[in-house]
Amino acid sequence: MHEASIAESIIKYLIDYEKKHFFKICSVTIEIGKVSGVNKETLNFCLNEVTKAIGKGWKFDFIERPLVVRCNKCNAEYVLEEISLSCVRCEDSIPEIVSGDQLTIYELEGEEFES
Amino acid sequence: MKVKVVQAILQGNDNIANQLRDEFRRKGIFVFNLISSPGAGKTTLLENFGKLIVGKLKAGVIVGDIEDSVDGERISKSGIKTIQLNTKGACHLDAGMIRNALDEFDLSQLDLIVIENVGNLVCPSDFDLGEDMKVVILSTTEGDDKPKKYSTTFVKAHVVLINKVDLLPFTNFSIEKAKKDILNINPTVKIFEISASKQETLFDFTNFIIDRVRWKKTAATRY
Repeated sequence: MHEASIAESIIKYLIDYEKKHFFKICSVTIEIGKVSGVNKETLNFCLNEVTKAIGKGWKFDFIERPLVVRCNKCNAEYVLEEISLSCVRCEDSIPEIVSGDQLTIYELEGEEFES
Repeated sequence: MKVKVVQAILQGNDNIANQLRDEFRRKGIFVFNLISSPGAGKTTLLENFGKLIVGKLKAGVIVGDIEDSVDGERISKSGIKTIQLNTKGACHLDAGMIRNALDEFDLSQLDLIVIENVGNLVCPSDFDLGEDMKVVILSTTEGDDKPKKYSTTFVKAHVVLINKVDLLPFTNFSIEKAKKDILNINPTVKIFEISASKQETLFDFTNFIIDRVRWKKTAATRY
């Protein structure tokens, strides 16, 4: 949800990063967790449109992370297709999300330049 | 050259929300975030909840709507100080909006803050406001299939209020099915059946909130 404002946040971060680190970005890898609520295609569309509009040539790649949960009671750690708040093994506790809800700028590729 | 940054993208809202959460904890103020579809009964609930807590709790309400101030005016008639926010298009409240609204209150005088979020069963649950609890209203006129369809909201709820139970004879809503689906998604949630327009159906929920407020106040005395 809100892929347009998420794209705006990403673009602002990239513009700042280039200035602060004297780094010309070529490509950006973004991690999207399965239950982050973000649609990859929509986000990609928004990012590409804004990138074109501001005259940058950035390319965007995506890593999709599955939902991984861990039960603190029985120590089971497993992948789920959708959120459930009951441990599938012991049914006795609520597993916590280890991975799958993230939305991060994971990696940047580019070159340093002289100030 | 590759640089691993692992920068969380939505950190801005979460940073403000965590600051709010710390402030509420230090001051012993219990906060709940009221979420539902438009028309499910948030404002009617707060009008009557407000009347029940007068003299028992010192409360403030922050109401979010895209436009207009009619909800804020309705709730303030119950005697509770109410601040109306207009988002001018945003479909949810965010932590920055709450931080700005808090300037209108004397927090040292409050036990409870209620945030009536924008009518929307999708987005509000994604934006942490620093609250203790998300309270979701599902009304019988919306259909008992909504928990499954909007599981990302119900999974984050601490309380679900099934509202408009007085209209059950006129709907196909099954309370048993709705409860079963809600508890499958979230076994920890507490469910109350209410008719927000009838004060007598709100006693259990009101007493539940009063208990939570007292617990939070007691916890704050440790600071």
